[in-house]
Amino acid sequence: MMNYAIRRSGQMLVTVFVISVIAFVVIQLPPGDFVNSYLATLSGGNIVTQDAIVALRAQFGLDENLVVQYWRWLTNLLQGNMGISFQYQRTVLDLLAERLPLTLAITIPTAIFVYMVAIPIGIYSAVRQYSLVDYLLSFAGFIFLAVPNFLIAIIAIYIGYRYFGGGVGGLFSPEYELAPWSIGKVLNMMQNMSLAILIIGTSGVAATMRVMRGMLLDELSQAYVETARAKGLGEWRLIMKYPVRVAVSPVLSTIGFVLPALISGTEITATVLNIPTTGPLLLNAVRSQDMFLAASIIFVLSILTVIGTFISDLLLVWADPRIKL
Amino acid sequence: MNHDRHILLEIDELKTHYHTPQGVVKAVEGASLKIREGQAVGVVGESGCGKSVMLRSILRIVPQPGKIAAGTIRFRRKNGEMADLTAMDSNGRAIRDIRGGEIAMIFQEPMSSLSPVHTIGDQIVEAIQLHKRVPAAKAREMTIEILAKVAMPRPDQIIDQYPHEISGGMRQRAMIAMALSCEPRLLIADEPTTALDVTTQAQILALMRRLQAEFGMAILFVTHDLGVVAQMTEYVVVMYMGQVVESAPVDDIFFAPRHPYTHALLHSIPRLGQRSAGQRLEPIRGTVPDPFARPSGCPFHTRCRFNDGQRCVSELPALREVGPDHQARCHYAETLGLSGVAAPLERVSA
Ligand SMILES: Nc1ncnc2c1ncn2[C@@H]1O[C@H](COP(=O)(O)OP(=O)(O)OP(=O)(O)O)[C@@H](O)[C@H]1O
Ligand code: SF4
Ligand SMILES: [Mg+2]
Repeated sequence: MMNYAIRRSGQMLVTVFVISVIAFVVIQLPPGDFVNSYLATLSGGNIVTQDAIVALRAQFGLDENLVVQYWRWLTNLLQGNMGISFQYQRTVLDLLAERLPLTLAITIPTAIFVYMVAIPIGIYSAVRQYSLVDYLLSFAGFIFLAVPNFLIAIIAIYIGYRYFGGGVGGLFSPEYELAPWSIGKVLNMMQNMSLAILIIGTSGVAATMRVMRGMLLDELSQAYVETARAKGLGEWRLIMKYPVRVAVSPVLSTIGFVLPALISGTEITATVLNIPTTGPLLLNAVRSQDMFLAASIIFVLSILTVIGTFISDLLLVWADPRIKL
Repeated sequence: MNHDRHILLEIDELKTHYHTPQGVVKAVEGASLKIREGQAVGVVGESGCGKSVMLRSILRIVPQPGKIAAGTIRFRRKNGEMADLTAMDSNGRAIRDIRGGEIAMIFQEPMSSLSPVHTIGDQIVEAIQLHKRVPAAKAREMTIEILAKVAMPRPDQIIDQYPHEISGGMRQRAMIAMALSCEPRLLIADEPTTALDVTTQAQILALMRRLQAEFGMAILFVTHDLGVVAQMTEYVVVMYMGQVVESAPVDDIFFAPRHPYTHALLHSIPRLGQRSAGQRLEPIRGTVPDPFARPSGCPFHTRCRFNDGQRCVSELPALREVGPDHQARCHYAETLGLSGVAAPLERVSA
């Protein structure tokens, strides 16, 4: 186990390095740089001298070659200095500290929500295979899988606006927007967040439920289930103890690929719902080639994903004694 | 001498059907047998004749969409009372007390019959604690004891190992240990050694014989191997297309079969010395009919050499007494004068 963890940590470091290069390079790909787009956003008609442009480039370190820029970015990063956002004129660390907790505050409960809802539903569907409830659940699952999250978000906003007379977007309802912190405000925030969680989680629930159902169906017909039955165990008890136990570990390990989907789902849906996570920030940063900010966000989110996968791998090894290390 | 022992299990005209989208499969369609306390009974018959379904019907663990359609299965409980297992709720308290506690079962596949993610000990301790009120430490002690009884090497270490860490033979020993852990009075074994190599098979059979004597339990033993039947059982039940077609003490089955199917089965098997003597094997003619199109009359008539073309194709023969403790389901059981064989010495599949 220890060996495995060490080996996986090594792989993780390599992955993180590759991600950092990709994050940095991808941001550089579009033609032009921040100065161009910065100038483009200046009110039209202003004439900027070539000298001013060069000075601006030098100020931001954009005149050096990419390797040097990357190296400076990385070494600074390792010291906790993520650079400056050109656009916001603030440190990236500051901006992330403001937004990242909210991204996590939505993504992590969403992941929990997905598994807590999808696994029981998957179990029920498998055990009652071909029952009416199984059909209905599978049907609903396909629909939610097919409809993109942000569309559901838009529909929710519409329904909220049309039938409940209130906006659905934002972190707070209007009456709390500027109010000082209070229990009511916290509850209001949780309420708005739970809607986001629900919306972001639906496709995850639909997908995970299918996986759980399929995995469990395979296990239910295994001989060891019959052995447990022949022992005198009650039906639900034996299902939970044996086939579910075997089927659930690969399902839990899907967190490795559910997590990135959730994070990007969170970012897009949060943009639609106007919740100040890192999503809208990233979108903006990419649009205006605010490269330190964009690369840092991508980098941090990817690292979180890599760590999530690492943890789920360790869990899987712990849960399934057959996996040889 | 059999008659001074109590009847432990009595199956009467059991019918277990599978309702599939393609139609009804009559997997068991009239099975009757008796097992006395401490008796070893063998069940033989071609693949698909309903042996496994009959065994699962006894424990009421027939998987969906199978259902017991008719018949009774009466079992003598510990307190001496005869209970009809077919009348019980298949997930109810009563049958679950019997499962594992009074009737235990071991299956064919030692590879997949144990949970891959629980230790051997976990699975045996669970069985003990389900049926006996003992604390965990005591149950663990009992588990090591029973593992030692099935001649498991290093039982105090094996108890904490996972099934994939031990060999197939050891897994089957673990299954037997689990089955015996609550001292059942009937052990049902569905081809317990088929998946094992010959040497291991012999060891497991010897072990089962020894334990049967030691525990004084009855065994209902399914096998394809008539050599195993001769060696392990005192009474034999022959099945064909879901029906018991003959049942008799093991010697009568081999030396004086009364049903043409039993006769054909015996003569389709090579015996020691037969090849050198130039005798020919007679495979059973024809093939097993489609389960969706059961033949009229006697189900064996499509393959029977003695089919009379009248009664045999129109009237279903009843299972009736044709000798002491000997039943057969053939209109002409008494008059055919079928020849027996010497008990096979060579291990071969039926
Ligand atoms: N789930 C099922 N659905 C439909 N038919 C089934 C099902 N399970 C078993 N059967 C049918 O029941 C019949 C008896 O099967 P069973 O497993 O009892 O045979 P068997 O005598 O144990 O054979 P074998 O020697 O190969 O183990 C077979 O014809 C089979 O097709
Ligand atoms: S009843 Fe007729 S067909 Fe059936 S076994 Fe007897 S002789 Fe053969
Ligand atoms: Mg079978």
